[in-house]
Amino acid sequence: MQLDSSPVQPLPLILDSLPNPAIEERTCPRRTRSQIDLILLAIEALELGGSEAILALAQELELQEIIKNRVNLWRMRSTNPLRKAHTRRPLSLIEAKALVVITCYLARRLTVVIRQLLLAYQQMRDKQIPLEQNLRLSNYLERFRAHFRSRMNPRRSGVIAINSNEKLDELALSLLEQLLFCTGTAGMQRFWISLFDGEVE
Amino acid sequence: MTIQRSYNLPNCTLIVEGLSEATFSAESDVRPLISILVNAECHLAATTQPLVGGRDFFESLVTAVSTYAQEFLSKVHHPDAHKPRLVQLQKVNDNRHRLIVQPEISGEGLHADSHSNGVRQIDLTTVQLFDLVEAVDQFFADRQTLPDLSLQLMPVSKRYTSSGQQLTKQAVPATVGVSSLALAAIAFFFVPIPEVQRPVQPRPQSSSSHSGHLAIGNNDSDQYLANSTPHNFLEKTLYDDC
Repeated sequence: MQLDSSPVQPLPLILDSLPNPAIEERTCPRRTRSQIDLILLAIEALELGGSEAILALAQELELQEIIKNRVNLWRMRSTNPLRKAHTRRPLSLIEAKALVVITCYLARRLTVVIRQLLLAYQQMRDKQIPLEQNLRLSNYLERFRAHFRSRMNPRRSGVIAINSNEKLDELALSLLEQLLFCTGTAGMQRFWISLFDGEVE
Repeated sequence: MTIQRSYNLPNCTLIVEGLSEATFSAESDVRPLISILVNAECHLAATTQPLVGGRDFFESLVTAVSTYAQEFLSKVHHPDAHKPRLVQLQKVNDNRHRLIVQPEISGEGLHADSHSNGVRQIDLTTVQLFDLVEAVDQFFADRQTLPDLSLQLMPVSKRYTSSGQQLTKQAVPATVGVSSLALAAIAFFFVPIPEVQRPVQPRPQSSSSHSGHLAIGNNDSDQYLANSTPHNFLEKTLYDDC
């Protein structure tokens, strides 16, 4: 198990339910890093004060040894290759687990909002009404687009490919659906395992 | 006397009816262990008639739902989700998921919806799908009910993914390139040495031998652009150079 230079301490129990995937490296593949950052972005678009909430929850769940402070969190999230501030720093499995746990706890707090938005999306889509006509949905989509554009590197082809409003809205809604699954009884395990689909031997 | 347990969500109620194998269950056993399934029902808001069946049906239902949920989350193809089974889930579009249920051999209690041979098809929205997944997960989490059926999650191996297939496709031009290099080398071997006295320079090999080489650079591949959908753009652009 990879640990940083701090003395060996027992890992928080809360991470125990997330098994280590059978990947060659002991750090996270690119898709995993990107997915985690983007789903946190979706949470920030749902709820104002996102990064404060993440840090506060890290404290509450006794994960502050892993997610130490705002800068540390930002560095972890910048392992997303799409970011302007992308660094080649690896994202360790423990860090990824901590972020996934936090994602799911935050998602659970937002269960009602997530369901309401998805039900609204469903109804509007069925009736072919433009999504902007639902205020809450349109706020979420607008905030997601704004966060995405301010943080992601516009020169990367992966970003160019989805930089239209339409494609970003599709991504935002897809992430919202994943967040719904994160609220479930087995949401944390499901989301965690899904991050390594197609990455293991 | 059978015991009934239900797992209730707004769009789905799962009911498991079974027997406990324990010959002596203490009066104080609030929740005895159900180890034998007698009957299972899945009530979905999307349809009026519940799905009903025995062990085979129920096992197939929970397996299909669990595997499909993973495929939905990662958008990575799960071969297991597409095996022919009593119960299957298929994606219709981003917001429609089709539950297809074959009749069990006994076939009792099933009314044909739109098919004469007892096969049922029910379309679920994503929220309805989630409620079904959650009901199944609550069942899995209940260790006092059919504990032999539990949540089994494994990531899909890379050889089953489209990127694994793409690696294969890219390897083919490389092998072709290498073979043509070998052929060129053999062909040049038979070229007669010119008669002039100056030393013979070896001819430069053709650059086609490198056509299949995976592009590895700092930036993502430029191969997949505007036509990619958001979720599979991530697959295609991000780990193409792994």
